This record gives sequence, structure tokens and C-alpha cells, in this order.
Amino acid sequence: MPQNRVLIVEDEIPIAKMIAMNLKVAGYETVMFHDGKEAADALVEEHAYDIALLDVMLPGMDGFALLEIVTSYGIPVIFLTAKDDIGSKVQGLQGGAEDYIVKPFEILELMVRMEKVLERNKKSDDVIHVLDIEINLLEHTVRKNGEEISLKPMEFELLCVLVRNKNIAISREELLRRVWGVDYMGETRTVDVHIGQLRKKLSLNDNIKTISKMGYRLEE
Amino acid sequence: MRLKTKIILICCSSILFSLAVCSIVIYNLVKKNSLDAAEGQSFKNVLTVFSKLEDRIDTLNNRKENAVDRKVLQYILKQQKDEMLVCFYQAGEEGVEIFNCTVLEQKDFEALEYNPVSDSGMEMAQMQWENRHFFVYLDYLQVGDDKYIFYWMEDVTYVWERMQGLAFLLILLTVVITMLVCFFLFIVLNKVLMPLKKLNDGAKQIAKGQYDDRIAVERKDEIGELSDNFNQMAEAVQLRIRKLSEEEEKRTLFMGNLTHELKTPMTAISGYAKTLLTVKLPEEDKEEALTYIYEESCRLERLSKKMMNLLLLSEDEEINLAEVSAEALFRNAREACMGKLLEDGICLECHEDGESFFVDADLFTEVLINLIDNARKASTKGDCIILSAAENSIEVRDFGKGIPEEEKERILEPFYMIDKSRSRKSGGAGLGLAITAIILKRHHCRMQIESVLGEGTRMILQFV
Repeated sequence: MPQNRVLIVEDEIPIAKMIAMNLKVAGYETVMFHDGKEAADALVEEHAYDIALLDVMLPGMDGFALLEIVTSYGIPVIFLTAKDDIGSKVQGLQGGAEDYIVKPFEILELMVRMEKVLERNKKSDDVIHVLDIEINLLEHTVRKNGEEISLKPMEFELLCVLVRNKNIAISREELLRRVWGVDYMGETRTVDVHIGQLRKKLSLNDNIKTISKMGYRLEE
Repeated sequence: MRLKTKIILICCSSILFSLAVCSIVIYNLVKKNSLDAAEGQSFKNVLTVFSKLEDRIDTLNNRKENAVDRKVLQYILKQQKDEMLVCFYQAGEEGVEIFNCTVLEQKDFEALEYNPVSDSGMEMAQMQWENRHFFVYLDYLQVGDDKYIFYWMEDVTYVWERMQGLAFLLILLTVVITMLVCFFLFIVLNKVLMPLKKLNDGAKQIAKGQYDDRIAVERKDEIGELSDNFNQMAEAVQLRIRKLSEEEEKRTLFMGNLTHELKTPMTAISGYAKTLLTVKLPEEDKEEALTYIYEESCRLERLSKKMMNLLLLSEDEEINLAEVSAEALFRNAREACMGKLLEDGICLECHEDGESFFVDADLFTEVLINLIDNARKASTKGDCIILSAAENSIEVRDFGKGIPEEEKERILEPFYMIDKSRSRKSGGAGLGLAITAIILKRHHCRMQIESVLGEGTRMILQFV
């Protein structure tokens, strides 16, 4: 599976590293810069990125200026910033940013937003490979070792969420919200039942781990 | 009611009232005088008439005893052709008309109230008949045994006519004068009250928040004074508002910076903790995450300590001023900074000559530590920092990269960092100089910053 390349420009090294750490395990390739000017200079040489995460307040060159340069290479941009005033948001989004996330943020939220941006920009693949499983998003089919396995719609959605956030634990509540929707009034028990089905049908007993208190995690 | 209307109304009514009183007095005086004059005149006339009549009767009586009886008298009266003369013969209660050209009857005359006229023996009354005014004189005449009553009337309507003219004139004058005064007052008040309107407009502008409007009223009277004071007030309000909004702005900026400074480590700490909990990480990543959590919490701790300092110092807490020798101050500061200085390979020279300063030893040491720390951050390996004392000042000098001209003002602001990423790496939060500035302010000490880019910086603490 080809990895999506992510450009991270964030002057707070701990935060940049944290994002990179999480994205890496979820199967993204990351490149970090801590200075706006350096990032802009490096882009001239190398600009094969699928998405860019930019801080607004950057040394060297601020995020809004960098936004123009990054979008000129056709790279979609998500702003990550501590500035949560409306003016900055409007300026960022009107300047061509795809999304705007205010610190402090949840890594899971960032990943969902990144997925959406990638989907909108057709940078995400229609076919996802994980372990020996092949998921075709267009055909809505799942193959294990080339053999098609029939999944119920909710099981398919659940698998997609787990695969997209592989190696990251997702709570039952979060899964319920992302798969069944915000309005779904069901119990977290529903999630357990569907996880059980997935484990059985795809023989993922060892790979879908139950993490105590945190939920489920698909491990590669 | 508007002030102008009020003033005009009060003035006009008082003028009207006084004019009316004057007119009435004048009218009455003139009327009395005219009536007196008319009375004198008519009295002269009646004397002439009666003396002429008596002369005739006497002449006739002298010629022949008892020659004059009723018939003769009637004849004489007819001859006199005086239409105003009326004569009755008094017989008991009833009077007999002897001569009367008027339409009046005896009872009409008797109904009048008579007053004696001086000592002439005559009596007089005033009578009104069909819009005409008369004086009526009454005289009794004894001819032989017969007693006659004479009435003589004089028309004095002209007096009343004249009085009417006078009354009309007085009313006209009153009205005209009042109107003139009204008009004059209107014009004058307009002119006088114009600045009040301007003041009012100015006050409205200020109420709307337009504090830079001033009123141009060039006058030496109370209104001029008022507008001067008004302008001064507007000036004061404007200054105060500007100061308040500047403070507000500063506070917002401070809060914004503080939130940013808090948010970043918080995001990192909670993010790494969550990552450790949920993500299957390789061993070295786990260690790195833990290191970052530790470092970022240290940063938060430092920040909160400095914030406490800043807040405590901002409040008007007492500071313990005492005579402290420069040597002691320098020794304390040197001890505190030595570790980092050695680490960075920077030397510190102290020059003092037994000077002493009246300061709070702990706080002032903090100032020196902050300044030396900044100097250290600006210097590179092998540089020297010079700490020297003079009679009324202390100087911290480095030979580092210097401060750009446009940043000199701002470096005292809380959270301001010239080189953000570098300061972060060396553990700064941008509060050191802000704290220093507050401490110096409490000591009434001025800080002078002399800096040349690339050559170094001199921070001179000048005691006042």
C-alpha cells in the first residue's frame, strides 16, 4: 500500500514529533520542519506531499504566507494552531486551507479530518491493503487472501475505521459515533458484537486487540 | 421648556405687568386732572349763567316789587335760550316744571348724588345719559315767596373721549414695547445661547464615544469658561479612555500569550499521554514520548512559577529595602548563574569597588540573574559577560548578537521573545525581562538599553 506523505510545519518540536509519531503508526510517511522559511525553501526541491499540516505562528515565515506557497504545489493544507479567534480561522480558510484545527486537539480528530481532506482531494486510495486483507472502498468488498468475504454494512464500516487508524486504540464510544453516527442511541455492546463478528469472519483474533479502558486496536 | 422660551416668557410677562401698572397709574392721574380741570371750567360757566339769571331777576324786581313770578321766570328763561338750564318750582313734595328743554324729568335729577361745591351754596353731581357724560349743578333760588330749583348741565363727554384715546394709546404702547422686547431678547438669546447648543452637541458626541471632538467657543463669559472646562473634561476623558483601552489591549495580549504558552505544553503532554495509552509504539518512541511529557511539565512548572512571581510583584506587596553591597549582590548572582555559564563556556567578570545599594537583596539578585541569563543566551562560546557597579548604577554587558532597534521597546513585554525557538530551547518563557522591569519599577530604578547589532548589549540600571 503506497503511503500518504505528510508535511508537518510546526515550531513546537514536541508537538511536531507527537503528530509524526501517531501518523507513522497509522501508516503515513511524515516530513517535519520547524521553521516556515526552511519549509518553503525545501518545497522548491521536493513537493511530493499528499497533505500539509501548518502552524500559523511560525518563525521565519508565518503560516498564512506559507499557505500560499504550499497550495501553489497543489498540496491540501490543514492549519493547526493555538489561535482560535474567528479572524484567523476566516483568513486561513479563505486563503485556501482545507481545514482548521485549534490546539489542544485530539490526534484522532486530526486523523479523521486528514482522511476527509485526502478523500476530497482524491489522494486516498480506493483499495486499502492491511495484513492479508484487501478492502475495496468502491466495490464495498473485502478479500482475504484473494477470497471474497461477505460482511454486513456496519461490519464493513467498522473494519474501515479500524484499518484507517491501525495501531491506534479507539474507544467503543468513538467507534459507535464514527460507524453508527452521532444520533445512534445503541449501546457499546453493539460494538463488541460487531468486533466479534469481524474477528471470526476475517480470523483477526490476534490482530484486533482489546485494550483495557481504551477500546479496540487493529495491529499490523 | 427650552431655556430661551423660559427667559423670553419671564421677561415679557414682567415687562407687560410693569407697563400695565404704569399705564393704569398714568391713566388714573390724567383722568383725575382732566376731570378737575373740566370741573373748574364748568363751575365758572355755571356761575356766569346763574349770576346772569339772578341779575335779570334782580333788575326786574327792582323795577317793580314782586314782578317776577312763575310766568315771568319762564319768559326770562326762554329768552336766555339756554338748553342746558332746567327749572322746577318747588311746591311741597311735587315739583312743577317751569323750563326744561331736555328729555329728563325731575326724578331723574333727584336720583343723582350731589356734593356741595366749595362754599358757593351749589351742589354738583355727575350723570351719564346715553353714552354722554354731564356735570349737573343744582341751585336753589328764592324769588319772593317762591322757591325754585335750577339744574344746569354741562356736557363733559370730551373728557371721556380724551381718556379713551389715552387708554388706547397706552395699550398700544404696552403691546408694541413688549413685542419689541420679545424680538430683541430672541435675537440676543440666540446669540448668547448658541455656545450652549454647541456644548450640547459636543456632549452628545462624547456620549456616543467620539472623544476627540472639541468645542470652539471664543468667549470671556461663564459660557466660555464652561466650554473651556468642558474641553478639559473631554481631554481628560479621552486620555483616561485611551489609557484604559491600551491597558485592556495589553491585558488581552497578555492573556492571549499566556494561553498560547499554556496550550502548547498542555497539548504536548495530553497528546503524548494519549499516544502512549492508545498507540502501539516501538520502545524508543515510548521513551521519547515520556521524555517530552517530562520536559513539557517542567516547562509548565517554570511558567507557573514565573507567573506567580509576576503576579505577586504586580500587587503592591512590601519590598524589604536594605543597604546591600554590590559585592554581595554580584556574588549571589554569580553563584546562581555559574552552572549554565560553565555549560555554555561563557565567562563572567565582576567589577565593583565597595559600592552599596539600597535594594531588596533577593529581588535585585533575581534582576541580575535574569540579565546575566539573557546576556548568556545572546553570547556564543568563549564570550565574556561583564558585571560592573558604579556610584549610582549597575551595568551588565555582553558581546553577543545585540538587540535590533525595533525590538528594544518590546523586549520588556511579557512573553516577548526575539528568537522564539532558541529561547524555548534554552528554557525561556519570555517573562524574565517583564519580571525584571516590574522589580526595577518597585525600586524606582531605570533600565537603559544600549545595543549594537553584532557587537553586544549594555543594560544599565540607573538608580534615581
